[in-house]
Amino acid sequence: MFVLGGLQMGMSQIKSNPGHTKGAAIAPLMKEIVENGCPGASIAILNEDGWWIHSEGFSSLEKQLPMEDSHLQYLQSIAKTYMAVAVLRLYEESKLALDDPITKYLKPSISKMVDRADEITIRMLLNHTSGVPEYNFDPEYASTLLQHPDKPFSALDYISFINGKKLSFEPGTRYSYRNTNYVLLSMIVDNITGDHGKYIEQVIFEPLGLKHTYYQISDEKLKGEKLSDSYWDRYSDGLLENISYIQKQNVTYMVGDDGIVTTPEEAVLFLKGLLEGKLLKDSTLRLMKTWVNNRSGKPAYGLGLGIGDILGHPYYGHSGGGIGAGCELRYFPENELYMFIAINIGTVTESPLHTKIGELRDKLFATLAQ
Amino acid sequence: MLVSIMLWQYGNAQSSVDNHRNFPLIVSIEFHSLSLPFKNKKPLFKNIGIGLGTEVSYNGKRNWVQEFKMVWYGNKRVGGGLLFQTQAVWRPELFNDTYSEIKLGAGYLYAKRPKDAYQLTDSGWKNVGKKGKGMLVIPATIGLGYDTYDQGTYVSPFANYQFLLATNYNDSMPVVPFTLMGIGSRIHF
Repeated sequence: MFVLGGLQMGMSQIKSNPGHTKGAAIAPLMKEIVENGCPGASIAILNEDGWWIHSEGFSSLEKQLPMEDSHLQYLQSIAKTYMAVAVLRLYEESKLALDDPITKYLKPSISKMVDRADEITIRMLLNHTSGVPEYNFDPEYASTLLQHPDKPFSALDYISFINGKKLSFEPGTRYSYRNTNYVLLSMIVDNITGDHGKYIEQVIFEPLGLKHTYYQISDEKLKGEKLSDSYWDRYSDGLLENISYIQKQNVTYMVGDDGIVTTPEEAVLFLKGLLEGKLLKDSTLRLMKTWVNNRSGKPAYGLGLGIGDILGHPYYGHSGGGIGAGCELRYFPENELYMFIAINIGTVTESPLHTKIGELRDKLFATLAQ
Repeated sequence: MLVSIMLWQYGNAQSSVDNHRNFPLIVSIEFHSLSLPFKNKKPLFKNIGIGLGTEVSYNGKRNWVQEFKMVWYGNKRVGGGLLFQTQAVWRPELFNDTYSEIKLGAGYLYAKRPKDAYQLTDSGWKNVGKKGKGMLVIPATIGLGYDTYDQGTYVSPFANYQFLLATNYNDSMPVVPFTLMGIGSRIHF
């Protein structure tokens, strides 16, 4: 049994079950993860044994502050699942059709920047089959972020990076994951609702009672919360440097494809709420689970939701990676287990530390899946 | 400033194309940025550094020389660095001892971190300071300068815009672009 209590004074009243079977198996792996080069890690598991929430290591190496269960973690690309839910709610409200061309919902000035925009549908954006180029492959984006992190980026700025660039493939012919798809979706929802951020709060955060989940973050929004510091291996030499400021600035301005921070338990509550039909109708959820295949011919992605398997055990969810953080949100249907894990080491630039951490992560997933 | 000096000296200029004095002291103020060429966001004059160098002519003229230079710069966001480089310089004449410059070469950059780094040891995380990394760089430069021969010590001002590709920055970004904007002078003895 697990207790889902109310929320008081900004603190969760969810109780972690000290006798949690999976938790007991996972605890040594969490310890090993931080002993092998990850500054801090935090995990939440929910299954028939109830909740198991646990943190290891440091949220700040400089101040030797421990990582705590209440620390906010960066969801990175898991935000795409939230964005997809917002789009699918508009679909349920008949405010958009999934197979309409995006030109119907984008301003002409934006459509003009996207090659063959009239051949791209909303569904193609949702399942990454549009072929639109990746905005963050532009070296100007990375160099601006590192040298001028104070520079605000808008959705228009991100789309400007692909202005004039050809599609990578015929729209709808194959799957290729691109952040740009979800920036465009945020602009579509903006045009329909007036503010996609507020709409996400209204149709996801509020009905699920997510009090510690924030999108389009600011110091004001995060007042009274603790956000974990972030680290990266600048020179791929195994030495970690605090990149919290750039990480936070980056996430502050990302729209649609990223931009959410939350606690591990609220990440799990989101996925649970979604898969239990608290956010979308069953028929829409089935659409969300209509998978497109990757190059190996295996099902890879639905409408904002990923699918995979570990040792033959399937899971749904999404992963997220950033310059100073990484995470995974998964549901294993065979044993009805939800999990979210966050680490505060960047995963988008390679590090020798990733090798061992990756091995331990795989062990952890295998333990949870069985 | 460069233009003023050019105009001021214009009246007394005598062609010094064939009278290049080798091994001048090159002194410059440099402004560093991690950016693609001409893509740096404002403000331009940040991350100041200093450059020291010299040059030697291939043909006794100033239009074809080899330059050797060392630049130290600070950069709060991406880390300071010490750059050693040599570039072959071609200086097409513009007018009255005013010339343009095109340079290409190779160099070595030791780039420090902007913040202290931490290393995992048997006894936990250890602060190892701003420990940096050495990398090979390919510099390319365009510039403008003025040089007129004088019997005594004389200065020849210049302005340069340099683009450097630093190799092996990390495993995910094998090549990283930097720019250096320099204003300085050669002092010919």
